[in-house]
Amino acid sequence: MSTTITLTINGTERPVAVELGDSLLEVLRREGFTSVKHGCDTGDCGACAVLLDGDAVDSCMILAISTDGRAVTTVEGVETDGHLHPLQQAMIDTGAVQCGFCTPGTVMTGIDLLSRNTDPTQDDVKTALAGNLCRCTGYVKQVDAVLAAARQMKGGPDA
Amino acid sequence: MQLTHLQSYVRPADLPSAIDALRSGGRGTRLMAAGTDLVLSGSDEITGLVDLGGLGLSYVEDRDGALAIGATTTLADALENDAIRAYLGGVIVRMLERVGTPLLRNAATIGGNLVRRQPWSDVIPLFLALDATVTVFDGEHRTMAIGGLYERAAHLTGAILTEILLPRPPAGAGAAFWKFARSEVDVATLNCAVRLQTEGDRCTGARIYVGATPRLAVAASAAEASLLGVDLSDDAIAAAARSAAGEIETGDDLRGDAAYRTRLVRVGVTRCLEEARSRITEVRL
Repeated sequence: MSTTITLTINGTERPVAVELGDSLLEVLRREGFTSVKHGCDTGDCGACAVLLDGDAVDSCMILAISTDGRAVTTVEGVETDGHLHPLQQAMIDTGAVQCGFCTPGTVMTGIDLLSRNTDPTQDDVKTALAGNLCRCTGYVKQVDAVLAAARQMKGGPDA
Repeated sequence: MQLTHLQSYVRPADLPSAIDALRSGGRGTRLMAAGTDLVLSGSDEITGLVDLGGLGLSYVEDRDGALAIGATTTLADALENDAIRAYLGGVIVRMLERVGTPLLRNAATIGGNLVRRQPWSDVIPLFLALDATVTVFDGEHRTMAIGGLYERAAHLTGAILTEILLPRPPAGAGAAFWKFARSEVDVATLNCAVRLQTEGDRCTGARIYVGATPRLAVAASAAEASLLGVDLSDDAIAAAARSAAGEIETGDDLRGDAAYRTRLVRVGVTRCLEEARSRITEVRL
């Protein structure tokens, strides 16, 4: 059975058609937001992470219809005036991207952390990224990227 | 699509409407908080959902030292709450930090964890050890000991868990939680929660629960009894841990076999008792 909900995706409110059993992941990909990756579908890998009202969640575990009226942010929506988000830029600068499959989810989780904690320690970052699996980087450069973004956002020198 | 047989979804604005929707929905209708566990279950039996997200049950209130937690409060909101962080030396925070991933904790709820009664739950053994009471609504509000949720074989049916109340800890209390898992984000191979009550050096109350045995958390009653009236010496703790390992029935699953789990019971109970003893509040009556 299908119905229509209202989602604010990356700042734009729009009607979205959903099947009752759809996950938020399926709906976002169908709407063209393909940065949201279909990884494990069991809440283990974090490749589908998006912000739901500002909190990073695994969109594979969220029933789309339960998000009616709420705000979703994907990595397509984190640029400002054509400029990459500081964490996106830091991911590039530190070489934290290899195959790229986990990168959007990792960026969204990192943005959630930086919104709660503007001065995270290395341990804070490792804990925050515990639900975002990466089989390429070994995590070191991803952690470095989040720390560099935190410094950048506080107005300090680049990494 | 995970819930392929879903035919109805409602999000009531008040408890009576929610109960009506649950009762009129038929056998396949389930209550849903965040829905993370329901979506993962992919159950074909689920044909209807009653979403509890619109009932205003997401809150934490300090009531004269007792803590009231609304059932749909997320694990992350609980983790960041000052009153929860302060409760009994931070034992709830040390448990919540071990549940799943930050992404899961931002969605999953305290009440959902309790009601889904997964045997590896970390919340259940600790809240049992803390002597929580729960309020459920089935047309009227009823309050009972949290153990009442787990006495029947069936899930809580025809009622909605609305609130969990953790009692104000008296002076001389200490608590601890311990979890052994294959990785930082895996569910428990075994977990353990303890609360001790003391007068002077003497133990006047002990709660010891062991979970993921691999069945739902149970009390180590003989171990608890062995501590009553005695000083909490290393020898007393070692004896209680041996007792727990002897009385807790363990089993096999992919995370460990029964013999391994029995060894873990002894380690977990020992470490929980030692930590709880070290955290006993300094204030004496």
